[in-house]
Amino acid sequence: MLTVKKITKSYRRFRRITPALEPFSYAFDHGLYGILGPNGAGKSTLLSILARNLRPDGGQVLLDGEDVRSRKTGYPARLGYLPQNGGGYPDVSAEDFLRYVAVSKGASRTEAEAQSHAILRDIDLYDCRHDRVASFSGGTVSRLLLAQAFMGNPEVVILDEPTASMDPAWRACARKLMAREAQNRTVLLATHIVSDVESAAREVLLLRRGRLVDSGTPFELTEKVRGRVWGITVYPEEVPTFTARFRIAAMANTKEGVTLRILSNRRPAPEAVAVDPNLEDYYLCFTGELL
Amino acid sequence: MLTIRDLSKSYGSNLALNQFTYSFDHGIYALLGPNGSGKSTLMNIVTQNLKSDNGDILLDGTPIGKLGASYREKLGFMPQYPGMYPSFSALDFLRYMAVLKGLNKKKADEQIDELLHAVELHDVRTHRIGSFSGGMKQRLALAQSLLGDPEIVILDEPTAGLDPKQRIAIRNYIASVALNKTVIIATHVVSDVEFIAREAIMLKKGVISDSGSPYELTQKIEGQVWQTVVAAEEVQAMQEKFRVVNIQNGEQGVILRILSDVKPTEDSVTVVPSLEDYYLHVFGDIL
Repeated sequence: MLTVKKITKSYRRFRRITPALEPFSYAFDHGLYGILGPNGAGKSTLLSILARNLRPDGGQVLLDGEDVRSRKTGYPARLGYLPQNGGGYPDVSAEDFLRYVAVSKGASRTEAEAQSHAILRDIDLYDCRHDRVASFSGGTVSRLLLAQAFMGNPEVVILDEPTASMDPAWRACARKLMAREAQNRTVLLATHIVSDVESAAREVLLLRRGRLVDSGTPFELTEKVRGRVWGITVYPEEVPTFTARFRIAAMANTKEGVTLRILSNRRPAPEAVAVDPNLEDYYLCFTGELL
Repeated sequence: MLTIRDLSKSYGSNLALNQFTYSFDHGIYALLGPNGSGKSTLMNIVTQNLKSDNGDILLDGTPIGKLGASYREKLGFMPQYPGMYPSFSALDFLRYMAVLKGLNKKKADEQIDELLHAVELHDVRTHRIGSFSGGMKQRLALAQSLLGDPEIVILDEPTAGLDPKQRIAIRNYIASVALNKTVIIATHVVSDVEFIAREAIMLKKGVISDSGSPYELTQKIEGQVWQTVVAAEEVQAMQEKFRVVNIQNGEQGVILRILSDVKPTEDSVTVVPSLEDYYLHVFGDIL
């Protein structure tokens, strides 16, 4: 159990002291926790502090009741971390890199080998496990960096935008991997791709301007916007009228015309029908003044 | 009209682009494909940052090699990882780029003002780029690519790192400028181009595996996209049996979106296919 108590952090930015994180408290049990919020909401600041990569101005992070800064917690060995724009990996083979991470977390050589082979198969890199990491493309590196966070069986895994440079097929695959790995550990996942956390997250935390503004299961959050999401199919010429008057969450071309997904407290047009909300609708409604 | 004929490029034994041929008119063209499918290679060749092994690129019938600098004047480019000077302000950066592009100062200043408003950076135009967040740099890079009102605009992952709200704003903005330009966008976020793209080009290992309007492409899998509601315990088993492209928690259980030729369960219903479904149909063999 990872318990966060009133952590705060400010930065100097644009010649002013800006609070990046106001007193933040939360208790994370096993499972996947999605962290959503606009750029600048404090997601990366929060995750860096939880990964002990950044010192908070105040507050405490406890793993099973012990401060993660105390040496006897052994936190670094119990933590898997993927920073945003992670990089700076050594120029070694994919397999050596994963084994190195596993051993550094206290895994034995045999465990390290077994773990790295299993995960290399999951991320479809087993056949090129002897290739140098430096020869991989950006998308391949991002798969490897995601995999390293699970090496050595850490109890807490912190992932800052792990799917940012993955293509849709890999993103779907990464989602499956994260959901599986979150069954018996705490996984915190910050992302801009709302659908990454929609299915598998136990809880979703919404941050805005350094403040935790809402949290709950994806279903609980989504239900809050029920009745505020509308579907309507219009002629292409009518689209500008709707985009000017309403918040449009999505558009798609269909046989009948253009299908709009509209966020509105009242029915936007007589023909509009209320549709089932999703987590992105909730996100768009609750991050405030839109477009 | 930008015409590309038989463009090929290899890196050692790796054929990154294989006889790519396509004609681009006005409007937005989406380049879709996994990492390593040749999208960036193609963009780098079209922007003359990379030489092709063979093939031609013609602008209104004239090879771009012959057009020289006048081609580059008509070209705007937003690379995937734009390098920007951290000590410059946003305004200075755009002015500097305008000088490099050889724009008239007075006209450039007017346009810079407009662009800064459009990408919502006007309030921070005098701040150092070094103090900008990733999303702000991204929007500045987009503004830069539109300086001088180029006829051809090449955008490599323009919405990467943006939050959903900024993504919608940028998407609408790109759509509004694309009316009298050729805009080529490479992206992993299929929904960004689904509505605004005139045509989508599916690239697989350097070869066009399919292309057409988003509607034409999604029509090809009409009747193969299903939705079904299952209990939470059944999700894993369904994922092993079928290509599950989306999972959502619903009132009655877990809502699965499945790609399948056959009806996956008794109570499955077909849904309207999206461009992302089609993408996963073409590239989702790892699922």
